[in-house]
Amino acid sequence: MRPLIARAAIAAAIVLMWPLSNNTAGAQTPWVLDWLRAYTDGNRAEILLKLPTIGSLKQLEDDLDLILPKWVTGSGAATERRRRAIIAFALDAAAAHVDQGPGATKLVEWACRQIRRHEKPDDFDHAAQMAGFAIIAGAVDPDALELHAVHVKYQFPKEPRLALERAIAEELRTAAFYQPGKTSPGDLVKHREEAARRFADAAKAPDAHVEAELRLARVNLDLGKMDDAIKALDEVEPATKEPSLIYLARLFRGMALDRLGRVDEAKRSYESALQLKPDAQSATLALAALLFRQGDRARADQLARSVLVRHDEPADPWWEYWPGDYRLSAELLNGVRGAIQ
Amino acid sequence: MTGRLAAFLAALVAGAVAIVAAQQPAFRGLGEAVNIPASVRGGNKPVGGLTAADFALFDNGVKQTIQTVSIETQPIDVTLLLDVSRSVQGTRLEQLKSSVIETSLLLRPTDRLRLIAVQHVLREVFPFQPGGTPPPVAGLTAAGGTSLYDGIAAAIMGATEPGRRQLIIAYTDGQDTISTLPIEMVRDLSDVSEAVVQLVVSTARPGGSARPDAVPAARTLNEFATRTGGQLFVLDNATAITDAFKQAIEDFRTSYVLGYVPTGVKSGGWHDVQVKVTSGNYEVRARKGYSGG
Repeated sequence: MRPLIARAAIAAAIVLMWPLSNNTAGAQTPWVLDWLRAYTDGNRAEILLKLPTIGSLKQLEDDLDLILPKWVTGSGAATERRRRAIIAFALDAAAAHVDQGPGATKLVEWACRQIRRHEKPDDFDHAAQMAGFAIIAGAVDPDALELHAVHVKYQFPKEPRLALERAIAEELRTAAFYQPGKTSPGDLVKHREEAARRFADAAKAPDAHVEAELRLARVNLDLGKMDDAIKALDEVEPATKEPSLIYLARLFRGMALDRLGRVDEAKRSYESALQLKPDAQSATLALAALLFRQGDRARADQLARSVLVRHDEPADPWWEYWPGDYRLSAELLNGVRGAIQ
Repeated sequence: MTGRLAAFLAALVAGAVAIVAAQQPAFRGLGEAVNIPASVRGGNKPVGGLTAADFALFDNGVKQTIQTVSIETQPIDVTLLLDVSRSVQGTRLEQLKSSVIETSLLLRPTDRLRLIAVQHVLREVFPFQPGGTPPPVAGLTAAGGTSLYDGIAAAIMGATEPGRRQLIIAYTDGQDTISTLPIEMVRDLSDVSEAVVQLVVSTARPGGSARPDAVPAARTLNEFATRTGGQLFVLDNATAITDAFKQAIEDFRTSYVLGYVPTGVKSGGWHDVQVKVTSGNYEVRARKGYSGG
């Protein structure tokens, strides 16, 4: 009887282990390989819907490490395709879990490590690294953002947005939602001043000039330097056609003018912002507050009510301000996927 | 005109002045009445029965003559501002919904309650409705960031009706994350409004500290609330939310409204107001001042 039981146990073990032995990569989580294969073969829409259901990003990272050696072997177009696919897969998984903060940024850095191993960095690598910036910004991780900038500089030293990304990282450290209560008022001022220096430096690059000046203006608002804020904003509107950036420039200009006591100009600035985005909560409330203080309570009430009684969520560029390039993440990731040939 | 008729008319006019002084929006300029809410507590209980003679009020250091004292006579409009950002998903959201229902039951039929949900987007869940009316909160969900300061500003800027006192109770489990208006701008709004703002903050987790220093920006929040005549409640667990709302309403309802016409002070700019009770060992919490016209 005992030998029979032993043989049955061995047979059962073989049956259970068979899928792993047939698995070319030996992943601990079998579905990861299946999803990666489907993603590589072009069923990306279906996999993108599944990525938000991943329970553990750490486990996924471990699985990708196990899969990688046999997934990307040899050379040639097929290998390059698989290399790009696994990198894009990791980035898409990170993007699907950007609210997990450090978990998502570690996955981006996993992808970044694979890119940095590429001896001849190409357009795909560049696109993937820029998508990485966007995802890390969405995860609100300034330390990871700075580290990513160091990594990207290794392969793309002339990337014009590098200085801007470092400046955004420093600006993130001044955000109310970043480590609330842990930054002393003195340190907050230091971070703001450093952010201003970095944005001024970043503004020297033509490709980053507009956004750097816009963010420099906002930091100067926080520092109480209204004239410097207005001076920076003077650079923005003439140099861009992007409605979100122009809206923010007009909003920030209104706030600077308001605090300087130039209320009529402030009112006009808020109103011009609302011409671009009539339903935006930020400029509507800023204008309402100014009117209320000026004694025009009826109009202030009307504007405040218009914000409160909406049933939909209006587009407001201010809500996309803090997480840097995250607003571009969908477009950047589309570009990365499109480069998997 | 006979002497009696003249006296009667004079009394009528004086009474009308007292009523109008209590009802008119204040903070306009010299010669116009100012109404200062003042809560008086002894041993953590409201103190009733005080008259103008029991108070001493100073406007920019100059003692003023209090012309009207009212308490519990005016109906109240309560605006509840609830932080329903992502962090309150789950049990806390359900507790908040219950708190709204219980708060409605604390109000009289002549009082009114409205609810503003605060995420990054602000939304009036229901407009002012009579106290005791079942509030429609079943569909309330939690998501997004927290525009707390913007929410308070929107509540302050809402039109008010004469003869009704305005109380804003704002609840958050964290802090403001995405408001457009900084707290200083909201403070400027409150300086020209009669609304009293009570702030209720839950610390992060049950069992966490209920000390104010456990709350980010506690000092700023406390300064803002007390400037309006309110206060900051720091809670260490969600079950205390209704109790805090109840105390905020009771404190407001039982507070006196001291009416006076500023005399001997320049009209413009900020006016520091100090209120004392001339006898007894009481805690007095009053609006810190107003912006003159």
